[in-house]
Amino acid sequence: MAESEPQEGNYDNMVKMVEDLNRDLENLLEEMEKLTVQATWMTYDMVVIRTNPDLATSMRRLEDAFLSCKEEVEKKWQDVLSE
Amino acid sequence: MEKDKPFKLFVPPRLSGGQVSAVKPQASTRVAGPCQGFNKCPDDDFNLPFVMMSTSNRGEITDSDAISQQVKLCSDVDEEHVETMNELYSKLYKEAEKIKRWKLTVESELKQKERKLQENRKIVEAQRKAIQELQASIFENEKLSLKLEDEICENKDLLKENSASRHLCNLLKETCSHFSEKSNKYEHEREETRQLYVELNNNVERMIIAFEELRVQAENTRLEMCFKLKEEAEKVDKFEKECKLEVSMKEKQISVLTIQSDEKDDIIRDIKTQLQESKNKIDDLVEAKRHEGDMLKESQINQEYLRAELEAAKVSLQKAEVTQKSLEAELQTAVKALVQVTGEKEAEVEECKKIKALHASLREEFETSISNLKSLLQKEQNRLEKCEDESKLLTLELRNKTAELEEMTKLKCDKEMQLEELSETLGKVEGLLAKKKDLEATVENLQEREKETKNVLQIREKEIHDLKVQLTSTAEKEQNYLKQLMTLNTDLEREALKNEQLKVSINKLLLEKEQIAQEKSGMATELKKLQESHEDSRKKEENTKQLVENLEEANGQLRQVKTNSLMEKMAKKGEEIKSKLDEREENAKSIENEISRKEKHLKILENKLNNLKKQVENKTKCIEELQQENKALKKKITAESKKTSIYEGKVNKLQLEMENMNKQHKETVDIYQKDIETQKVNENKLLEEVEKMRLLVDEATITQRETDVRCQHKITEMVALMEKHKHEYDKMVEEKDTELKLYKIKEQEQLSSKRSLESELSCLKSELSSLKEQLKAEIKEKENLAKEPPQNTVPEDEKKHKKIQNHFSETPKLHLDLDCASIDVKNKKSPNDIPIKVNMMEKKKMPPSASARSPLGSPSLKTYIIKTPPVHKLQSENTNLHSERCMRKKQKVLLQLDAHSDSSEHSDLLSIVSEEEMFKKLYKDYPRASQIYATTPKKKPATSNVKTPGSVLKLKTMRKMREAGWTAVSKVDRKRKIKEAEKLFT
Repeated sequence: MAESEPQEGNYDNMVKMVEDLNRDLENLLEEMEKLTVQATWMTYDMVVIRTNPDLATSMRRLEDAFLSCKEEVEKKWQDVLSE
Repeated sequence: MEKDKPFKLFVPPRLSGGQVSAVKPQASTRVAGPCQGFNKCPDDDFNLPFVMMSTSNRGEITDSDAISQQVKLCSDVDEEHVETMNELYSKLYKEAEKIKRWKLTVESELKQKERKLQENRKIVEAQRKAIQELQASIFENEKLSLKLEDEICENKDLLKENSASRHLCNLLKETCSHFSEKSNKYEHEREETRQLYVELNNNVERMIIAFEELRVQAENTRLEMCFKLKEEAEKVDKFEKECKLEVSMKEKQISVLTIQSDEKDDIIRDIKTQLQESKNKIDDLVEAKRHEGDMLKESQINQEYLRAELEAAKVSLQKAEVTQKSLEAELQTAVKALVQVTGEKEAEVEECKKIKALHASLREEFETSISNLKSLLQKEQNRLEKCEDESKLLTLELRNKTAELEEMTKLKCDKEMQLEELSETLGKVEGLLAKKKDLEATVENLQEREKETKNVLQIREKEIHDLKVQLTSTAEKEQNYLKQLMTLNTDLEREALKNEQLKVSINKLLLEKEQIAQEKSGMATELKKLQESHEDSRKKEENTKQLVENLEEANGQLRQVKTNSLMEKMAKKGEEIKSKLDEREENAKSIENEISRKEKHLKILENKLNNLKKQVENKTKCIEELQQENKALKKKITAESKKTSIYEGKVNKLQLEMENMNKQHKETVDIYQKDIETQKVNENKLLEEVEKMRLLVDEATITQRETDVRCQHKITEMVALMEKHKHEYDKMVEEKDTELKLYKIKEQEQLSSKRSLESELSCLKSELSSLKEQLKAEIKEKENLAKEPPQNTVPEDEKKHKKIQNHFSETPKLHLDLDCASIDVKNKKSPNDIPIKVNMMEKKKMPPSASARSPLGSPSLKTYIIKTPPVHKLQSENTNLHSERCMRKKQKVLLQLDAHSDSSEHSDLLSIVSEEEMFKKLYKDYPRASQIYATTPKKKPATSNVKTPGSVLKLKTMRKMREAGWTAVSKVDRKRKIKEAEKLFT
């Protein structure tokens, strides 16, 4: 009978524990879900940002502009030299 | 035991209540027994419910009261040991009663307890059963407990798992918190990155825009630069063209200026030469002037002499006057004559006057020329300082001369006057002819002297003319020189000095002007003072007049008052006043005169001033002109100096270039000299080499000649050797021909032996054919016999056949071997040189042999004819086939022959069998023959090949020679062979 009582208490504790655990686990699951969602969003955003073609296009445009400008500048000297 | 334990376990906790503890104090001293009994009784399990029942049944309240009283008594007894015994007895009684009651109750209770015991036993049994059941249940429970324990363990495990999961949960929480923090951070970073990306995009777009703007700006700037460059290029081109034009112009100017400078240099040289000439001429002129000065001194001396003579003449004139007085009378008488003479002399005088007029005109001309000369001299004075003094001296001298001439003219005038006077005196003293004559003589003398003087004058005038001409020439030259020299620096310096002097003079004149102006101002002040004094005097006059009027009025009044008395005073005063007025008027007049004088002075001074101003202006103009000329000349000088400096620089450059060129020329000349020397050395070397080469050529020619001679010798030797060799070859050919002949003889011998052997062979074959026919006949007979008694004959025949075969197998082998050997010999012996000819010969030979054999000929000969040797020889390789065919033909022919021949002989059959066996052996042998045939043709080309490479030419020559020989030999051979064939046939 001495063991049964703590067992019962333990049982109650157990139930509480289990309930707490379940709650915690549920909370954690929710948190994890949120976090996963956030992470997926993050990854999605990162992918979107990384795979954003605007930057490449803008960089190409910049390169084109720079090359054209460079050509113009070099042309000037060439023309000046030729003239 | 198992049953008791649960009871014991169950009872004590329930019965150990407060009653026992309450009763124990009652069991003291007296009541200890019952108490103890009571106390002991309750040791039984059944007392209490009994007691409880008794108390509950009989009087619970009393009991309870008694007990409470006992309890109280006991407490009282304990406290008050010596109380009343009554109370104790009563109490004991009561208690006895109580015990009695208790006994009754106990008895009843015992009964009841027995009942109850029974019941309890039943219950116990039931309980035992229950206990057993319970024990079973306990077992089950134990099992369950075990299970529970297991489950507890499981629970513990689960708890551990729970704790672990909790730990994991905590860890997860921590990780989640970390993750959340990190996710937040990452979100922040993501947002930052987004913003950065946005900024990047913006920056990139800005950069693109900026680059495009830059590009546009660059294009614009480039275009502007292009335009500017083009404009500047055009400008530069224009400037270059202009500069070129200017340069061309300047070059032309420089060329012109160089030409001018050259011309000017020439002119300057000419001027210098002319200057030297002019200096020489000036020196000459100075010397001439000295001479003229000497001449003037002499002329002065003459003049003094003439003056002395004039004085003497005056003295004589005084004497003549004295004589004139004496001769006046004579003159009066001689007037008439003298009138005529005077008329004549007047004419003469007129002539003289004309001459004088002429002289005067000449003088005037001279004077004009002198004035011109003066002006020229003045100009020269202005232009030449060196010549000025001389010219001044000359002018002074000329002035002196002119003064002298004037004095002379005056003297002449005086003399004329004297002459007139003399003429008058002559007219007066006409009578005095002697004196006249003397006078005339004197006049003539005077005239002569005059003439002399005139001559002297003319001479001097001529001299003057010469001098003038010289002066003019010199002046002209000097003017030219001055004009040229004026352009030079010396004049400029002098002019500068003049300018300074003129400035000094101008300053002086300005000072004079100032002094004059000061004088003018002083005079003006004096005039003003005088005018003021005059006005004062006038005012005084007016005042005096007013005073006079006042005085007159006063006089009138006084006259009215004091007429007479004052009239005198008035008159006196009026006179005094008049005198004073006169004095004042005189003073005014004098002052006016002074004013007029001073005004005249002023006018004069103004005129002077005007003149001075004009002079100053003229001088300033001259100065300005001279300054302008100076400036122009300085500019020209600077330009020319620059040009000269440039030309000097060019000349220096050209000199440097000339020096460099000279150096280069010298260097090149040195180099060429060195080259020439080296080439000379080379030439010498080459000449030496040429000489050496010539020597070598000579030596080579000598060697050539020697070698030619040697070659000729060698050629001759070679020719001799060739001839020897030819002889040897001819000998060899002859020997070979002889050998060939021997071989042919041997061949013919062998052919003869062959034919003999063939004839033997033919004989043997004929025999064979006969034997074969016999064999065939025997075989047929045996067959016939075998058909009749087939069993007995056959083995015998076979044995016989074997025997016969053994007999015949030996002979044909030899024959065939011989045949083969013969064929081989033929094939081996048939040389390459004469295969066709031999064949031809054999063909030629064969028909006679055939013809020879045909008459001998049994039918086997036909077969033999078919086996002609040429066929074997031509178709050596196909011999087997041919042999087979031939053999078959033979067999057929033989069979045909057998068929034709009715006689059936064993020999024929045997011959056939033997022949078949022979053929079988032949088939065995022919491969060997074929091998031999195969080997033979291989050996022959090998031998031929061994012979060919060593001596191809020799073989060719030999062949030719042999062919040439064979042509001759073949004819002989044919003849011989024909003879041999005839021999054989015979």
